[in-house]
Amino acid sequence: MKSNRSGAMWLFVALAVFALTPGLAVGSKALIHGAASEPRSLDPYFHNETPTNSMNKNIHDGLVSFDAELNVMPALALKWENPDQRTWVFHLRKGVTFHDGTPFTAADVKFSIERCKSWEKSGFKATVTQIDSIEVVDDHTVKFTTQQPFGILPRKLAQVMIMSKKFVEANGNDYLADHANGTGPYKLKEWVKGDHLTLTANAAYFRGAPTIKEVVLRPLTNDPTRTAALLSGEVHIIDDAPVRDVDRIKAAGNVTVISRPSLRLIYLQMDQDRENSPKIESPTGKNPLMDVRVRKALYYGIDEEAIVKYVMNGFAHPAGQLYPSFVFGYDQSIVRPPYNPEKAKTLLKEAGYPDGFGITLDTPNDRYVNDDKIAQAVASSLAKIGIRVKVNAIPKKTFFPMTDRRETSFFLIGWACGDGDASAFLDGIAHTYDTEKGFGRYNRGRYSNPKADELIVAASGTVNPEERLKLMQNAQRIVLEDQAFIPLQFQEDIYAKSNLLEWKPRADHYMWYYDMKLK
Amino acid sequence: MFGYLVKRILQCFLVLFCVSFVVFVIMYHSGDPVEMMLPPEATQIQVQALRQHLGLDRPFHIQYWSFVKNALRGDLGKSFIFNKPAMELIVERIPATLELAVCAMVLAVVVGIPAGMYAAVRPSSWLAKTIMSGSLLGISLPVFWLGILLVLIFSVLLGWLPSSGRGQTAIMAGIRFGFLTRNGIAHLVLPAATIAVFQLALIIRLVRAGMMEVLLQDFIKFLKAKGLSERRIIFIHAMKNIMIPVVTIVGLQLGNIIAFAIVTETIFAWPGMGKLVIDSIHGLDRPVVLAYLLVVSLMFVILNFVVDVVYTFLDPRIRLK
Repeated sequence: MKSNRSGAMWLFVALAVFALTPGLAVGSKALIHGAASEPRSLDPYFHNETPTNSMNKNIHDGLVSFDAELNVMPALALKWENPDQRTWVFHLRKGVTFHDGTPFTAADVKFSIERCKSWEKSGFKATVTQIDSIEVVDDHTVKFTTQQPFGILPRKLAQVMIMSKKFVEANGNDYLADHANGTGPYKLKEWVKGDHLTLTANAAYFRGAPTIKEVVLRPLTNDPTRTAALLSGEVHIIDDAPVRDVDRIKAAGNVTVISRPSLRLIYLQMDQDRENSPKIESPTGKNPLMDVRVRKALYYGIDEEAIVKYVMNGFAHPAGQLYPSFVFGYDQSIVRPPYNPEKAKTLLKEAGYPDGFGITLDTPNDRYVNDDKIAQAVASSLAKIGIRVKVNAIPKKTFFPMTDRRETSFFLIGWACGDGDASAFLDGIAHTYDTEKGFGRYNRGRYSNPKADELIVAASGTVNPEERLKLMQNAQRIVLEDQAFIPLQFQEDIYAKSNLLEWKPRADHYMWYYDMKLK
Repeated sequence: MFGYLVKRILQCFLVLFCVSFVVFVIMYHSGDPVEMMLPPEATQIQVQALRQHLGLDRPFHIQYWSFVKNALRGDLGKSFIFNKPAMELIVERIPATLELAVCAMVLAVVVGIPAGMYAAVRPSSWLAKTIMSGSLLGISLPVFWLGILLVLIFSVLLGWLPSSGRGQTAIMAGIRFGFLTRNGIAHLVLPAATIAVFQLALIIRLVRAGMMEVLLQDFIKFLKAKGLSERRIIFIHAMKNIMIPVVTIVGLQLGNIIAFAIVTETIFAWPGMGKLVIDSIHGLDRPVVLAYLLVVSLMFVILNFVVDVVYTFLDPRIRLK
């Protein structure tokens, strides 16, 4: 008896020593992510931006979710059907609980969507704006009614995390900024802003307990710092690995660079509805960008292959349309025409600008990877066809309001169809600017073609996927024939990771720790 | 003394008022935070609604007036981005910054004053020459370059010290401190050294110049003639006379590195105020930027006051008026 007890004692001491030995016990099972941006809030309806959504997605679930290629798959809802064009019935998973043990029911769904729609600071209002009403049929069935037939409702719902009604009502909005209670694979353990955010595995997760038991996100916003942390072995993975460090990372033995095409298109917008455009020096006094031949000349006159090769070190693909191949709405039959400065010059001559014109190209210099450098390269490309481009590179906080006020004639900007559907681009940019209906908010060149508008509106009111696809493809064809925009490139997401970590990046740039494995 | 205090407090209010006005004007004109907060697919109506909710659709003078009214009641507003009181966000970050700044300054003072004195007393020795050329290097190295170089050598190549972050912290009196754990100290070394190098070089040069000047003065000769030991002359009589400029500079520089350790904090991912404020400036988070600059101004006013008080101890001829 006595010896038994002292044995237990020794075991306890050994365990205590083991637990206190730094680096061994904890370090071997915690995954450390060196993040390029820190999440801004743990309230999943506040900021609709990638780093924040990515984190919240680890803590919460939506009714449905996206796989790595943005196909819709079941999550909190197991299946759904349309009794009619405007009604959607979702059948919820049973036996799911929130992290605090409260069971998940249809009331939480109704509450969540309503909060998402009505909270003043919600960044997801546009995502759920088409939902008219939600009805709790029973504890595990909800019925959505949309304002008009709305085919992409599941894609929209994949972005809306479901919160616990009880938790939100008990604690109030402000509390949610740094507290969370979801159904997701990870629970929030601790968030010391600016330093680290720690998650622990939710053993009761409905898809099965995660293999990695603890995840630490460390915000390393400075590029060289992030690379150094990876190379010195302090983190397992970094996102947005800096392009200029790629060769150095590749040269180190125990780390790998991985990249994949992202959703982001970099493109140019042109002022198309004003004879007097603010930043053009035109020999005729007119706005040359109103002529489709000039817009086409710009498209043919940019050597995008060279820009991808020399400015992007190959981490991008020349774009011939408005969204990449894994977005629903992509058109395989459209290919980018090869660089053709001769044709560009001919088109300019036909349009009455044999000697070109002068123009300012506005660009942010801190928003996209190499944004201002791409603009410089565009300028030198266009110089060869006689267009004198002055690049005006400014910080994003001045750039975006400036384009909103339309104090620009020609500008470089990016877009990502976050829900994996072409409608994001078509509704938000290609449609005529229309405050009332909420279309074309980013159509800052004011392109307008009623034929395209008609197709875009028709697509947004169609439920059948094949019909929608056809409508959207036709709309895009018109927009590209008008050369309403100049697509430049699809950028790649670049990550670098320790060889101990197994993971494939996702199209939406979300860091979904549930899919990761540590050797 | 009482009159002096009242004057100082009034001055302080004037300074804070001017700072708040200038910052408000700059932030008001540098862009629209709502444009940065909402996702691109938000409609114009939703953008307008949020602008109204945050009170950003009102004219400048009304926005500023409501800020002043609330500030006088101690409420500096809620961060647009974090949806938490701006003051709370800053207070959360103060310990990290303070820890870093104080460590760096202590390092600089403890090494800098003796080194500077040595360089003044034995100017022709090889050690003095090394100190002086080292200090020249220290003054001219840009902080960001030095920081990255230290990381490259000590973290990436040698693997001795962590490259970033604050590491393990322990809680003392409800505040997180890194210097209480071994891991925390390891994390502190590189950023503190990065900041300390410039301060160290500055102090060395200041102390040396002051010392050399004082050593030529008549009272030193008199003390020597009186038969005092060299040690006593240098460490007591000469030192008292060079401390006034040193205290002034240490006070001001301490303020500077607390307020503007932004570069170092960014390089080392140090979770201090500098990193918060740079993110807030990028996100046009006006309440946080304002609160930060007000806190910093207040700190400078207080530091200057402390420096003035210290003068009276160092030189009894100085009185606070």
